Amino acid sequence: MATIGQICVLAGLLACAIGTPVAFAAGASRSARGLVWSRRLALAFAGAMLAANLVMEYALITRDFSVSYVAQVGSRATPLHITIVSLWSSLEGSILLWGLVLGGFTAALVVLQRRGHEDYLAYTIGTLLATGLFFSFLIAGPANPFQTVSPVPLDGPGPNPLLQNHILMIIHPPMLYLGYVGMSVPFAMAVAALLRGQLGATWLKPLRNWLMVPTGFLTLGIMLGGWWSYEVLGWGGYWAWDPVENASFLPWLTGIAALHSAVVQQRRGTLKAWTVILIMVTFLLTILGTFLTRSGVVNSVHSFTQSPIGPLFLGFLGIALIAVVVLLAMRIDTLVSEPAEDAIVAREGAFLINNLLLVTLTFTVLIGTLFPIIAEAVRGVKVSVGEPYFNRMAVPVFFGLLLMMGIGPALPWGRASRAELRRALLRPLPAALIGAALTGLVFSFEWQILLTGGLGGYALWVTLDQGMRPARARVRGGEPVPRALGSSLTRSPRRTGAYLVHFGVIVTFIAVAASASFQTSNEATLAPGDQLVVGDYNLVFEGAVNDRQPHREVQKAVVRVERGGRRLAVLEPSLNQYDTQREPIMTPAVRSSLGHDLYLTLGSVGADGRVGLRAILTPAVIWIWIGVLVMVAGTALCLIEPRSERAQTASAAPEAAAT
Amino acid sequence: MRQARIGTPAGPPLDGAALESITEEISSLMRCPVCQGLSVNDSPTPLAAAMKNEVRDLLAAGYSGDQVLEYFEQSYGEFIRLAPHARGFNLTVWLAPLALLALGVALILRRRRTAPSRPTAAAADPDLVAYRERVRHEVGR
Repeated sequence: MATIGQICVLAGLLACAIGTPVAFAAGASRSARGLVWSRRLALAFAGAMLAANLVMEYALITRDFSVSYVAQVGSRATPLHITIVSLWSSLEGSILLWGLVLGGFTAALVVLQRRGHEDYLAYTIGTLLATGLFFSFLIAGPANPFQTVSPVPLDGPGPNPLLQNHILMIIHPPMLYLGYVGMSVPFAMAVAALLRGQLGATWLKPLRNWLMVPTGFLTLGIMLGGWWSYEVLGWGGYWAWDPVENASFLPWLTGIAALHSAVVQQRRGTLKAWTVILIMVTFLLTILGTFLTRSGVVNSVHSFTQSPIGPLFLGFLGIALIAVVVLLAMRIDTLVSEPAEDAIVAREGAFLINNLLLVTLTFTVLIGTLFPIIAEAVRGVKVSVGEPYFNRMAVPVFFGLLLMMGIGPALPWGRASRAELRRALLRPLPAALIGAALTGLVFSFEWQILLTGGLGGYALWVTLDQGMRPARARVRGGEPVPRALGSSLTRSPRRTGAYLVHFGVIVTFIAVAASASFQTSNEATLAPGDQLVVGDYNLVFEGAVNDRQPHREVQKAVVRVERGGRRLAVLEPSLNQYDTQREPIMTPAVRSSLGHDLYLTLGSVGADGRVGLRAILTPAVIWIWIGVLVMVAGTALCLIEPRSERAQTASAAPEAAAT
Repeated sequence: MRQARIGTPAGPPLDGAALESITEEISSLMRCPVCQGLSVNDSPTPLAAAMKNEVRDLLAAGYSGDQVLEYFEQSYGEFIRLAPHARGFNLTVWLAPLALLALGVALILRRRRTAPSRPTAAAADPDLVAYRERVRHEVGR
């Protein structure tokens, strides 16, 4: 098996090694034959990566311990579904999966982007294959999962128990990878545009979609990571500004900035250079993030591996950075947008401020994450930069973004008269007052809460007003309401999708603010029959139970949850002791409702049957997940081609490139 | 012992809800030494619980939040503070983002001032004009 896997990886490496120069040459000479061959080699790379991953899955499932990666993460006692997902439970496997995802995106580009991107396609494929070259080199050499182990061990240690402990671990990493790796496609398109020296509409339109897809996956991946950390790590929170969390947040922020600046480019023809730079920075940040999390230079709850491939990533980052700078310098003349008549108090001005805020936030998170390394190098002192720093620095920016989400869409494009502006900005004010009053009544009359509610109400009104505009026009035109809503989805899916995303962001924002501000908790050591009170809940500890499972021992505390004398549920927070690990893993029990979450963790189980129990009551947590899912749904909607445009693309001859 | 290291309590003794809320505030500024970046307040580990109790005791005795942080910093080093001191080289991490923001604001304002009054660049681009037309159509205007 190890040999077959090796062969697949080497085939992928070969396809990239040949494909990269072929594609770049095809781009330079505009050769149709060269493009055909670069397409074939791109598909060959994708096929080889798929085959390598399938071979590894086969080896994992058949528990072929002669394959080094299986010997490292496999174990006979591990259940099948965990065995399947152990592909991404450790470094070598996740790099292999990275290869598959990169291959998948490359193949998708080759297959889906037949029309509308011809001028750039060869260069785009070339850049993707160059990236593929680096990753297949990693898989073939320094992070080779297919080494032959001899003598063959009888059993392995199994994957990291933290990964075995929760179902979310099955989907969280692939989603994040789809986001991370997917950013290679817009990057490749940006490189292609610079090489070609053109940034016309046939570049911008596909770019938008290929940027939207990874951003959507990244959104989902980050949320699932937060959810996983909430359900598994046992401290009652979902976001700790941990370096690995930050590493996934950074490209998300710049990706979003790029999506917004692309809108301005589309509408006003300006900000071209800026969009390109943001896309390139996004890609570089994904590589930097991988370096940070895989090299062990930062401490994190999420980094399960430390490995020698860190320096290689740093090298790749360096090469990519140099390439980007050289390309930008080469094409500086193409990129300088002709100065436009841009008004500040207008939609385009709001986009500029949105971009500035997003970039400031990116920089803040980046410097906060890297500062411990910098400070140690400069001062020789270990320094921490954690939650209090990030909250103090980022929360004002979040408020700024929420404000812009209200003001921006309310403003018209281009110059407008003072009266028009006043009308546009004042109209949503009642919604702001209502929002502030409501949040104040529900939570408390502290200024941050009132500000969140006020800005949230304002943005919500503007979002609904703008998002429903096509539907309202149809209703006025005589269509019945349900049909108007339906056809606004099919006729203007992008507009509706974009405002749906904003709606999700506002919901998430308010939920995060509420959950961060109004947590209450209580803890105690309890004997069977004792009670713990948190909020208006009464928690009765009924006793501890031991459950022996094949690969672990689970110590549970059975806790009866009562409120107002009524029995609501039985929760069983546990300590899971995996056979292959020294320390037990705390597994919280969570009871979610639309209003708040009750979160129980078991700290210790004494020999006398007494347990240390901690109970945390957090409002609105579930709305964070719901809000993010709405964002993802909106993103998906943005990808649908409106009916009118589909007809046009089908009938029109391939568009001529311009600029 | 404590007095020798951080002086005498700066304020009156505390108890009840006031004590609990300031304990949470101060312990969330401290890093749990055995965790990966969690604060003493958030961390579920026994060491963090013990440290939180110590924070509570010190605050109850009337020591100020700054004194408590100082006390732990003497044992664990600057590493214990989750928000670094805003002095010396550490000012970089606090001020650099503000500097970037200021730079950005300056650029946006300058961009506006230097922008001459003439038709937008996009208007001269036939491809983009057609595309924008379609976009307008799509959004139903």
